[in-house]
Amino acid sequence: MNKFWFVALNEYKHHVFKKKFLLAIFSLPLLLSVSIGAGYLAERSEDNFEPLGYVDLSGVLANPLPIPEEHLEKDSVELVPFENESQAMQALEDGEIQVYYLVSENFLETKEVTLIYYQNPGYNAVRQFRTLLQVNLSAGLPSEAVNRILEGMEYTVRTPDSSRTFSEANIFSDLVLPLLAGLILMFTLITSAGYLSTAVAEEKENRTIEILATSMSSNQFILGKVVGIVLVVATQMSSWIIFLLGGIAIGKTTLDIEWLSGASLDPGIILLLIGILVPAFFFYAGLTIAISSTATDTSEGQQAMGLVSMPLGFSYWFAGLIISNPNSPFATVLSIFPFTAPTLMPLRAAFSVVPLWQSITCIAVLSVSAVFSIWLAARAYEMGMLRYGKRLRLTELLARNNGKKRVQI
Amino acid sequence: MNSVEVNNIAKSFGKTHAVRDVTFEVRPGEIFGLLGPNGAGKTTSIRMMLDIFKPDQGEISILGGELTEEKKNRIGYMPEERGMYQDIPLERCLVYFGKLKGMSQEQINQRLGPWLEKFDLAVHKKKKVKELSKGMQQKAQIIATLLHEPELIIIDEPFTALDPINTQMIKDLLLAERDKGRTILMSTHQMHQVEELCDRIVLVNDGVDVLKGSLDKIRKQYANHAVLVHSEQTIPELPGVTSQAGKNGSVLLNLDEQTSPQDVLGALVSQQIVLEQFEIAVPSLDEIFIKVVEKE
Repeated sequence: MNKFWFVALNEYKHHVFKKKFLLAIFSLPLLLSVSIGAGYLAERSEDNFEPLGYVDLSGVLANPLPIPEEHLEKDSVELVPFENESQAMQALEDGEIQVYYLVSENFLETKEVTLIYYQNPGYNAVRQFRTLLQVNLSAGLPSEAVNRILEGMEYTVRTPDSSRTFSEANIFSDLVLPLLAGLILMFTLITSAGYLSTAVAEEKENRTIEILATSMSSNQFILGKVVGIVLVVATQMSSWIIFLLGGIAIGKTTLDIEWLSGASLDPGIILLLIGILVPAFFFYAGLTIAISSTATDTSEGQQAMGLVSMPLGFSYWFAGLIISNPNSPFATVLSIFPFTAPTLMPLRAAFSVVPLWQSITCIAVLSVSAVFSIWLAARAYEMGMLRYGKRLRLTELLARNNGKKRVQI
Repeated sequence: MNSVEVNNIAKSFGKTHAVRDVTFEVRPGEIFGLLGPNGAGKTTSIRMMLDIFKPDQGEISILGGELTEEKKNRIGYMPEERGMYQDIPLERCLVYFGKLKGMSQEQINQRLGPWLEKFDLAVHKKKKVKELSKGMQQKAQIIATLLHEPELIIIDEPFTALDPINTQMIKDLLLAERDKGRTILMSTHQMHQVEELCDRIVLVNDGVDVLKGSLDKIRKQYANHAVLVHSEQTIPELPGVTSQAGKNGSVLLNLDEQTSPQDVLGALVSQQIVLEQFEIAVPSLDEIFIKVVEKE
């Protein structure tokens, strides 16, 4: 087995078999579960499944047509007709019904309906009674018309070239998922940077650099470290994605959460995210190794990495500005600048149609930056590996060296 | 073929000349001492040998040529800066180092147990390295250096942080490794520690090799015409003795060229001096080093 695999596996075990890693793995799904659960409970708390009564003085509901099955609430409420208001009132007082409606005699002219209640009715019950009225008021109309009436108002915003649409019904897919994907991308990079910032500095702190340098080449070592961290982050991210998809599936099917229905991600955005993620990962990995190789200890490396990864959150600080004008020169330039591109480009893509040339330029700039940062990392490692407690200056790092190792002790 | 050949190497860091001109060779199956005071350029020379630094000039041959990735598996190196992963169990740390030296899991399983037993570390193998004492960590470092049975062993300052018992154990171990045919290059500033170990040495001072060769020959070359005696009685003035000097509780008698040690012994016995020690005075490496540096 190539030695870089041993380095990679050692790095993987070093991070993954620790309590704090398990905590990190379960923190996001826990947060997600709490959010979805709270949303579900909030939605359910507004429902009431006790019977709902009505007194129809207009005759509209004398022989009521049933609500078509596709428009029936999942957990429907029993709708109880009463001959007169005193019977309905008695039932309300006896707790047999949650509320009752009084449909006025001249309902067809005035559309007046009175709600009699002690406590607010459940939203589900109100929706169901309203649907019953709509069905019976539209009796005799063609079924397509009835369906259209029952579906209610829906509007879709479409870009001029029709390549992107935003509709209220698909808000999760159209807006939330791209934003979430961008956030996951940001967390991936920040998490990787966190691991990588300690990867080389820890070797320096443990004084194991010389043993490693005399056991394998620098390339094997750097590759092993990066692959190890990739595996760690992949484990973390895939766990999160599995939890996320599981959460969405449970939300859609079991809990029937409305805003999760139709959740899917545009393949174009997926492609863009992958195109950004790969070079962005190597760009930040290279920078992180370069910085941690020049730092005197792990804490200094982490502090420096905090500064470098700060621009990743930049797009979210200015989210309002970018969302209101996603194609402004400000947003365009920052979505191509390598430090901000990984998060700003997905944010723009969520709220606008990014011209193809800008997407390609963004990926190209990130790729070139990635190559440069990996070169810088290898150089910093060779120059800084035996500097214990002594910082490597940027001028030294970038100075010409005629191909010789410029290491000071 | 020599195990190591170093020819006229030099290395500077900025304006500091760490190594100016060092030449030596290490023969197969010997213990070779790379000796000199702190800052003489020993560690830099070793780092150049192991390709951690590139020399500014000169040539180095390791195991018959340039140091390749394959050859790294045939070398055991214990750096002056001892390095172990502090936060993982000792056994896992040693297994990892073994694998980096090209060992299979089976080989590691076979060899690691006896080594841990030998160094009384078997009961501590599940402990994190940081929970071990400095002496234990030092012994673990030696296991990491020798576990893959290297042909060439390079040890920088082997006796740092060791008590006398462990120092002697390491000395015995190095002699045993030499007897198995391994080549050992040992670098230290504690010259008195290696006198009984080294077959040949090179003395380095201020980045330049000032003396090299067989330890016996060097000692003879720098030996005074003197004897060392110890007695409870006062040593009287003796014919042929030019001067007396105290040395570690004994008396060093410097002789003129016509007087032999036997003449002095005869004179002492005839004067009924009860002797507890009588030996030909051999200069220590420290003394030789001082002489050489003063002459330079």
